[in-house]
Amino acid sequence: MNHDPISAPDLPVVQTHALSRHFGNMVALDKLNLTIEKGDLFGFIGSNGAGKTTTLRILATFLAPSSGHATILGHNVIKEPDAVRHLIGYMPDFFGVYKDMEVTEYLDFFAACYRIDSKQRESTVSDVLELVGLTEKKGALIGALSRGMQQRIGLARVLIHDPQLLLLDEPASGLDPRARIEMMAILQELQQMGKTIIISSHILSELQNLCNRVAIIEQGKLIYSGDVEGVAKQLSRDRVILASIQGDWEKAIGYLKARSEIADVQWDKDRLRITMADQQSNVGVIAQTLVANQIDLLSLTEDQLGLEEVFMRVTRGDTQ
Amino acid sequence: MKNLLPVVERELRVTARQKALYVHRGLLAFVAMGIAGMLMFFMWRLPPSRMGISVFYTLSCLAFIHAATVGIWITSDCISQERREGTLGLLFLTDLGGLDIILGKLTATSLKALTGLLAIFPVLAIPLLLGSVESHELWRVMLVLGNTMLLSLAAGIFVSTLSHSPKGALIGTFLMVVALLGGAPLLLWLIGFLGGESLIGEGVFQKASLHSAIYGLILGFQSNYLTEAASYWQSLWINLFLTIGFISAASILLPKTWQTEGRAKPKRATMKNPLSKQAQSAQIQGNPIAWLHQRSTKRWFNLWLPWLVGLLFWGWASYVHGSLFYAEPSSWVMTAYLSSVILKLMISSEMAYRLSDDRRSGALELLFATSITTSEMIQGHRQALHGKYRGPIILVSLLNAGFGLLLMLWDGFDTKTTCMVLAHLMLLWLDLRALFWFGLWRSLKSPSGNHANRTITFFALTLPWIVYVGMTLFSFQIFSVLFFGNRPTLGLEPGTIILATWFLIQCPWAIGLAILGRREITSHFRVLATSTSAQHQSLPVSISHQGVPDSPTT
Repeated sequence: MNHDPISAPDLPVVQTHALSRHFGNMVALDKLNLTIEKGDLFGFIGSNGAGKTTTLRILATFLAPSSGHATILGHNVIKEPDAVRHLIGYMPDFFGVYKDMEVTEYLDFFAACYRIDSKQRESTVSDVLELVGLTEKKGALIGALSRGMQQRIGLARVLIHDPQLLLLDEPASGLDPRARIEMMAILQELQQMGKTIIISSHILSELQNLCNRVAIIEQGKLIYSGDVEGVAKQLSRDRVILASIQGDWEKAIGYLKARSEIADVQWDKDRLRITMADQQSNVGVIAQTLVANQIDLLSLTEDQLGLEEVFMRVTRGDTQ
Repeated sequence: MKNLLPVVERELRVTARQKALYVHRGLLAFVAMGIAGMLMFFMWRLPPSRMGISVFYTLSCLAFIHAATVGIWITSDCISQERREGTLGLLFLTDLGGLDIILGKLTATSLKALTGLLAIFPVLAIPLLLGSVESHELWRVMLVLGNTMLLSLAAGIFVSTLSHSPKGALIGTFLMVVALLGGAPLLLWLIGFLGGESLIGEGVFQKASLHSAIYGLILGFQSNYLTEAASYWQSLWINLFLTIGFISAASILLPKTWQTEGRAKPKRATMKNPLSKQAQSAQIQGNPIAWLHQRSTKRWFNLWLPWLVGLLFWGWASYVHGSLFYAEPSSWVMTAYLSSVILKLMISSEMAYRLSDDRRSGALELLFATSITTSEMIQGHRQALHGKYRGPIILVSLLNAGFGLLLMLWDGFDTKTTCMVLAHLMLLWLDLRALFWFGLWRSLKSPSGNHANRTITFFALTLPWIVYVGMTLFSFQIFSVLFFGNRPTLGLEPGTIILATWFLIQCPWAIGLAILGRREITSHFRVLATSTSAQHQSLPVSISHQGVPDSPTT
């Protein structure tokens, strides 16, 4: 069996088609269609119980879908689990470490589980420890390390067999700010090394800066999948423009409201908050109207919703 | 104490919602009725009064075994589990004191034991209706049973307060219960036996037995109570004071020991020896799972201690008693049998904790995310068991074969003795296989190591004996009924029939368990290992935490 992804360079790294999973009457995942390309740092967002972990566990070959299918670099996760396991590194949201082992012993053990030759294991362990910044802790007992360090050991374990795809379930949960920032920096470095990473997290502000693509899932259904920049445009119902002006703002509101392209105008602190009638409306009408009525326009910017705001708007937070 | 009632109320509500409570109660009542029915069937020729007394004695003894051992299974790990999971501290952050927690735990846990005992009582009262026992006798026995149950539960809680690991708590409580039931008389007998002469008079022996609930039970029966009434009450009071003592000690110790949990310095499992690095690397390369389960440095001491104690006992007894001990066939039979039982218990315990802890921590699931296959995993466990227990297995096999040979020589290669020795050796081998496969499966399936240990010990080592004894009695009675009291010999001696029955039950039983365990493990290892993950660890655990939740985490 060929596990080498180079043999299939054009294939998406992850592709799911109508992927569903039921637990009794509960629908944990409902016809999920997802495509993740090579090199993506993909944020997987959803409320608790939305279906994130179920999706990751199906991709990690731990769980069989009720219907639909999923492939990793062209390998079906159900029909070719052994091939898939070589291609992925799965880090669940618990540590699962052997606390009475040394750091190197633990990684050496997992390297052997991935059938890495004994001659290569020592250098591989050193490399991954250096990557996650734990070289100086290699002789320490895992149980004596902090939570952040144990999480980094988990990441080192995931990297030990040089997988193409990393499935990281809440890798930053419970970490202090420094450890979180360090973890995110490591992930960016891994992305630059060409790894494809799927990361589920609740810390949306960090995902916004970290990921190039995101998916939002709610009650097992995919709400959005695409660019981080596009998420606000696609999911926010209104297009909002912020305009700073010099002059009579009450008159300005009157002039702007008269335009059919504009749905609403409000004075928000020291600027105008203009809601366009639809996403395709020409923003130029704002400048034209204000200038024509001799009101000085100082600045004109589009109000970009953050990932957190979009998430709060499009999800109801219902859990199953 | 002011917080006790709400805690108790809450604990009782939680316990009352558990299905196991009702299953346990129903099962005990069913078993008691079954035994009583069988005994009455066996003794149908006897007058009702004699029939009733046999039922009463048998059920009293079985209920006593249940009452005396509940602490081992129910309370031995109740505090230590909360300590390991870090939830004990949450209770101390509230206004609860040590006594509140201990009594709350005792209430919750005693409910299951108490309802079980209450389910037996109506069956135990049948002899009263038959006119076999007086009501006073029934109440005396019930008092001993209730008292013993409380003592066992309190002893379990006390040991749990001091323990950290589930295995340690279980073994500690077992030894404590053994000591409570017969520690002093056993010690006196041992001193007498090893001293070469009876150093202790009858009176001293009886006084020393007063702490034993077994002695209390014996004295509770009418024939003994008539002459030893005072001793009965003394025994009862001593056990009650011991119960109060255990509860008080646990309440005092708990606030001082709960903080030791997560702060205990982690201990290295493998030797820090540069010379062994290369060997270690080679072993990991061969089968990482085998290495994982053989790496503990504590194994030498744990493995060889029982055999060392046995050797010392044999040496000293042979020195003191000479040929009366070492040339006595009963010494050989007992030594061979005890050594095989100890080995089986050790392997049963080893298998019980093999996977349960790793499954709960999620470590097992991580292994299945690697390239390790199910067959490599099983092979690794087999290698680890062989590697770890090779010495004791060889020792016990040689011991059993050697004593067997001596026994055959002694009996002039009598057919019955030869068959018995060969059957025993074959069963030893079959039981070890059954313990591996059945143990591995139960370890994966059970919610905790202690639960797995209990299941393996019961199904693999105890139940076949119960079935054997029941079958033997039953078959003799059936023949007795069919042939009007003349038991058929079928051309065989009764001893041969008993031996054949023993082999014909134990042998298929061991094979059946091995096949069942092997089929389940080979077919469902991955599913069982990954179906219940460890995410529950972060959930707050109540005072009566009950194993692993089954619902998926999405």
